[in-house]
Amino acid sequence: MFEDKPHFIQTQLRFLRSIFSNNLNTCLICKETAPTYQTLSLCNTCASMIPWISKVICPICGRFEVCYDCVRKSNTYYEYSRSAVEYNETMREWLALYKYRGNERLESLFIKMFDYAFQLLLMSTSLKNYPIHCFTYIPLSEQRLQERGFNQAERFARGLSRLHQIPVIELIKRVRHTEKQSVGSWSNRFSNIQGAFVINEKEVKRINKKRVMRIVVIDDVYTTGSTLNEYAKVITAHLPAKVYGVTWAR
Amino acid sequence: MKVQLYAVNHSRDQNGMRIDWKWYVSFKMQVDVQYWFKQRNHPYLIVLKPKLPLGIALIYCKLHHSFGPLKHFNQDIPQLTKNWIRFMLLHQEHVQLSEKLQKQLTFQMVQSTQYNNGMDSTINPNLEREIKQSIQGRELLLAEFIHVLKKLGCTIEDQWSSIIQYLYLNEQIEIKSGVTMNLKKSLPWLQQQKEITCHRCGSGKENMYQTLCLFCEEHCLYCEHCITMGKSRYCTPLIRGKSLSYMKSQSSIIKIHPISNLKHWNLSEPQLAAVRTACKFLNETKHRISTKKPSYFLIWAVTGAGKTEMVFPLIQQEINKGHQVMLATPRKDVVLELQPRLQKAFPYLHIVTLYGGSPQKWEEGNLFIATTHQLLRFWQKFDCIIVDELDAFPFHNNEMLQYAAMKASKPHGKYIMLSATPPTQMIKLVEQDQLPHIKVPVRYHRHPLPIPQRVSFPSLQQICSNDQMEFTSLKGVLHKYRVEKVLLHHIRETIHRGATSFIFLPKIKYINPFVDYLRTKFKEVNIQGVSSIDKQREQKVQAFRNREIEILVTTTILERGVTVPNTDVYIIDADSNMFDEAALVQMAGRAGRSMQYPDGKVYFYSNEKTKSQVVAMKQIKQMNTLAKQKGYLKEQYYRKDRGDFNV
Repeated sequence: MFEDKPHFIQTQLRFLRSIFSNNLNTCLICKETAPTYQTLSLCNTCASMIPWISKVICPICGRFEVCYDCVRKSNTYYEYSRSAVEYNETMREWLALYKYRGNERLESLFIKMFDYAFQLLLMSTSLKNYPIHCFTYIPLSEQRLQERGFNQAERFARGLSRLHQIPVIELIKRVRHTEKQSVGSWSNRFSNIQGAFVINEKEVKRINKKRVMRIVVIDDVYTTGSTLNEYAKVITAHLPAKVYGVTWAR
Repeated sequence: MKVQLYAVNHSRDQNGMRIDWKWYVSFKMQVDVQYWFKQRNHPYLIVLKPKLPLGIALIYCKLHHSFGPLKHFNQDIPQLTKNWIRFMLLHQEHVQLSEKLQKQLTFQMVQSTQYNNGMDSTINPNLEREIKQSIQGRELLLAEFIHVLKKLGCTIEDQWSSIIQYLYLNEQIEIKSGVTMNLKKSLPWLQQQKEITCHRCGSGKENMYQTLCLFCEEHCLYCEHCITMGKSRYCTPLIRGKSLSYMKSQSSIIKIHPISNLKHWNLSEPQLAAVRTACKFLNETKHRISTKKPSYFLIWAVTGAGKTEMVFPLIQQEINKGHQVMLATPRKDVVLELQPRLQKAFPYLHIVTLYGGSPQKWEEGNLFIATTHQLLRFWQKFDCIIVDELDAFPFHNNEMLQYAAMKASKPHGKYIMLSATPPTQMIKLVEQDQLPHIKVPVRYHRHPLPIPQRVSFPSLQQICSNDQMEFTSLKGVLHKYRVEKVLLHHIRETIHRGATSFIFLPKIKYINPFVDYLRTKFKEVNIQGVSSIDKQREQKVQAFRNREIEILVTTTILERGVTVPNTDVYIIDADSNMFDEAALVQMAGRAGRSMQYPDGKVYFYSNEKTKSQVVAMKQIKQMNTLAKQKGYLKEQYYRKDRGDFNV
């Protein structure tokens, strides 16, 4: 409104400032200047807010505390799952920024955090000597995809595959539009998700079925594990496979 | 989103050649075909296939390629395509199509029978009027537009595209892409640069981010800056409704009080003077029509002058003229607080309040009260925009909101800005007499503003070199500097007078140690700390208002809005760069607000006497002198000889 300098001088000044300032990074979350040594390109305050899962207590779901759900569950079709962070209020906000607001710039941050969870998975004993064959992701229904404009799980899977040179295969198709898993109650979620997935025949035909495949499923949040379980059920019915999960938050 | 790009021609020159082509974009070709073939003089329609992303299509539309004289169109299609590709290459650095798309490009001649599935695409005139009414003067993203349609009862899937197309062809709306690219020369000898701006919030390249877009299947830009209000993309349409004048309830307004009669507003003499000048400004018709910029008026009123009360007569005058008025304030609680007061003052008026999550989002009215962010959703709608506290947090240094405020007013609109501490550039303009303004130098109770006293005090940063300030170290250093006594003495005095104390610190981390320290000194006094991360913030502020808390330690978050009678203000570390002169003036303005206790005390505790402290003190003193010169102060300040008046 009240620019005291003509426009072209302003642009030149801005250009000069961008050359001479050594702090070009801005924090992805709060837009403060971030120190260059932060690999996540966050400022120190935001980076310190991440509740990393440094010690895995529950060997099944990768929880940071003693887990009663996994003991209760009887027939699981997946091996186990690992997560990068604890799903608290801050993390919920961050994910909402990306998922619902659609700020796709945060993608790089999430992929870097996913890498941490993937490393947790690799460190677990049974996977030390065996390679991972492929990544796959939970598909979104067409309606949700139109709403959101992208599938966050797919983006994460593609990002991880770029980092580790492991292919992404679209193993499953979604046939039914389900309610958001984040709104259902615990028991509701089981019934909600059943029968929502169907195997993608085209891809499965191309896979050699003689050896056991190790497949990693990427999803954003693990709450009850019902989505992952349903998914693994469909895959194991068609393929000799071991299914692992990597999620961003637990 | 992908759209069809096509050209229309419906006139021939004497030789039967078609020259004058017009370009349009289409969300639904069917509507366009019906629209054009309804017209008498056999139009030619040429469609470019395949569909293009909206941003690109709109640029081509603007570039306006002319085919040159044509006679027998059908024979020339390959020629035309070649022609077009040459044209595209010419503007290559401007608009880039992916190679895949470039290869597919062909033209097609449209017959009247094509795209016709027997449906009539015209809208029910009632619905059309309703839609026009509810989107007039607004700037909406597609998702918001669809939301409006749903509210009006258009629930049929995909109906929106034909409605948009219909309104677009009838020139009721303007379609822009959310983000645009332009070429701009910054200096004549430099190369042209691509300038990317968001049409909605005006932010530039630095806030843009490119991703693979699902809707246009290309790399597509989106604006990160205004993403909290919805995603503005290169390929999403931004729909600007043409502003009609809102006359609906004008007849129902009873002009109870002609503006010349200002008595019933209960304003003080200085307030009246300001209102009269502002009214004169509003009544002024512009002489220079060539300047399309809106004009500004600043009311520079000291803290506690009763700014809000001055707004009422201004609103009334504008409403009487049949204008639409926007009152923008920075905070939601102010909006909610103002609504009942204004409704009481103007019972016949339809007042619309807008804020994040407001239920009245799409309503129309004479008077809008909104948080400043909501201005983004308007386009050339208001005749008069009143901006309250324009220097406060969201407005200050925020180009987005300034851009939003600019575009929300009509080209000849008027701005009235209210502030106690205008930004420095504006003060400069005021001093140079380039900005019409009026100063209200005295509070409504007509006592002078309290003058801050500076007390030498070690800086908190010195006291705690570590990140976490320890209570013991504060005590130790305070002892060392022998200044503890002064601070405690002042606070004791305050308590003795029965006043509450408002203590401002520059950073949140100092609050808790400081509170602990004071608690050891004043055992029977209720001392609390409040910061922006405090969950009980509102309860604590309320308790302070009720005088249950006697000493409140806080940061700049409470620098405005909180008004408690009989308060003394302490600003610790006043030389910190967290406190600029505006903040200092605002904080000092917390003291002496009420009629009963007009003389609160204000202390600047600082190690150095910085420029901002000097400027803040100077500003306050200047205002007091001005008030005295104009004769606004109470008689008691004019007694005896002039030397006695000590400001």
